[in-house]
Amino acid sequence: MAKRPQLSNNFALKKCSRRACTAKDRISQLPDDILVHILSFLSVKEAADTSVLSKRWLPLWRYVPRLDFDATKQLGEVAVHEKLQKRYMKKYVRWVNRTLRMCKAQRLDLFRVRFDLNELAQHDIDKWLEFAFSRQVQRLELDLLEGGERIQASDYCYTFPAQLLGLNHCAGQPQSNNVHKLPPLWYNFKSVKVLLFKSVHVTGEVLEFFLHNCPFVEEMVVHGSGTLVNLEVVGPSLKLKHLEIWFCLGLKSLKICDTNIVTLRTSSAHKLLLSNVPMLIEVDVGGHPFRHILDTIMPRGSCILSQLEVLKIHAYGGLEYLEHYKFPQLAKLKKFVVEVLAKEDMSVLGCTHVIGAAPQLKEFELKLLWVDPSRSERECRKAVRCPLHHLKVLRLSGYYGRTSEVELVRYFLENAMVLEKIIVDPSTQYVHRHRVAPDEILRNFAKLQLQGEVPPHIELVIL
Amino acid sequence: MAEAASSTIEKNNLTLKSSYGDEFVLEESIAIQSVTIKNMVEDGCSSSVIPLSKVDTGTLIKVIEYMKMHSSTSSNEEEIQNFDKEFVRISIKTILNILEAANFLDIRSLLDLCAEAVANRIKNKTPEVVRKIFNITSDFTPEEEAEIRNETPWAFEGDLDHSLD
Repeated sequence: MAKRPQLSNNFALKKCSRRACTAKDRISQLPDDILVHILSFLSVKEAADTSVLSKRWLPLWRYVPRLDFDATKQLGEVAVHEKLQKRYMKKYVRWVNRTLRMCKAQRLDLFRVRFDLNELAQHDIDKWLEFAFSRQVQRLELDLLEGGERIQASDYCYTFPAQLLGLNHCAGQPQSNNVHKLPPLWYNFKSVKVLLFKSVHVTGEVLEFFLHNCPFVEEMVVHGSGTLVNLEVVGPSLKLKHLEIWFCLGLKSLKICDTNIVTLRTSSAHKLLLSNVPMLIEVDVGGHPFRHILDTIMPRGSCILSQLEVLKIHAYGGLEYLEHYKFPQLAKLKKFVVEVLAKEDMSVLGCTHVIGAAPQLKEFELKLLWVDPSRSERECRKAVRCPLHHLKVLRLSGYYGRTSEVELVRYFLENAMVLEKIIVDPSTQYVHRHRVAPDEILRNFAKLQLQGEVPPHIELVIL
Repeated sequence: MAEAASSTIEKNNLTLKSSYGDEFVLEESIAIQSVTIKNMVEDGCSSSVIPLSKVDTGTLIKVIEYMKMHSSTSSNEEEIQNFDKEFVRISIKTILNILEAANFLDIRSLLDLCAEAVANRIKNKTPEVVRKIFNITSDFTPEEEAEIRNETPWAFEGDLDHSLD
């Protein structure tokens, strides 16, 4: 009996290999440019791995115009074992350097670095940027977050080389003097469309250089730059559609005026000067103290709130003061997201004041970040009644089952006449890494608690 | 009356003819998603029957299905995304046929869709498996192959042992 399967295996193998010889290798017959195009949907590592397939494939990966230096798995290892950082940084840098020496693409659609890198790699990263700009990169991403998720300590942060743009740093010199100077001729910045810098010290001067010298810049993302102090995004000629300024702690002012920006995301809302931005429809803001945010996005006489379709607020100080705020109509608002700390049993009903002012609202999401949440015995409070004619989806992330959450659910059950779906995610939001209770218990708790509340015609999804 | 009606329809319709000689009538506004067809129409290739000698019937049917979906005004973004997802859930042979047709007809979004679908079948697979999937025969000697693997710059695997600094 033992022999037969082996025999038939052999037979199958032979048959298979004969078929392989006769079956057509269609893909290798495709023209070079199409094969390179296929490879451009892969990361650098995956594309380079195809060099071993056959002689036809050997040189192809070097011509791929998208360089995505993805090492997600190793970055995850660094996030867990910090000791690996130094060794892995060296390896990553060596890998990128070796790859760039082999790269033959004349133009780059994408140059993307995402690894835990710091100022020790300053010289190498400078060279990478030179490489990317000399190949007219369109999308440049430098994501150097610690472990892929945290802002690097300011002292260790990589600094964007302003001299690359012909901007010389002289302390005390007024910034605006340099903005319109010409860059070194051998680099071409004109093709840049997207810039992403995370844990990179990049100054307002550099960012404004890109805004004014690159006619196609439409997206700019800056996280954790310690050297960004002032930034002005001003003028109708700018193409910028999306701006994100997150955790730049030295920021003193962010001025956005007379421009066609569409989406804005900033954790420095209290430093924001916003006016005449008629295309702006999506805003995601946080800041401290939170009161200022409201003053910023709804200064007297401004219509910014009434033009928004999506509003996300990060209100770490709680939502109570919202109850004392008089909101103008948020006539176009379709989606409203609130991120708030889940501290003890602090009420979240403040958000209903915004919801009540948004007659077109379709979707509401509450994201809870846990900081010692606890369930109390207090009675449920009732929010002001207000019929919601369009609200269909309610999403609760980080659901803990406190009275404050139950009373919010009841508010929607009473007022949202066309509510279709409640999505409860009890386990994704943590401020601290340790878990308060195992997921399964939280899930069952949420289920028991809400099944009694939610009528059967509304779909209750517990993730 | 009937004649007038049919002639106005004629004006807006094109006939695409596959390599097998099968003919398909399609609105011009849908067909000109193909830059190749658009150029033919603009150059006054007016006979309204467009011979596509490089596209077989089965492939042409799929291409038309795609163009119809992507020019439909009644479907929203999500529906189109789901359509695309389902569209490439087909044999690799068929995808390659459509890929070539999309290249010839110059339909950028379809070319991208197929190229990405092919790339997804390469992703996370060993070279041995990729060769099997696409019927690629290696023409390297084992020594050559080892050398190429060595030269391919990737820092994290295989060299862990001797770099414990």
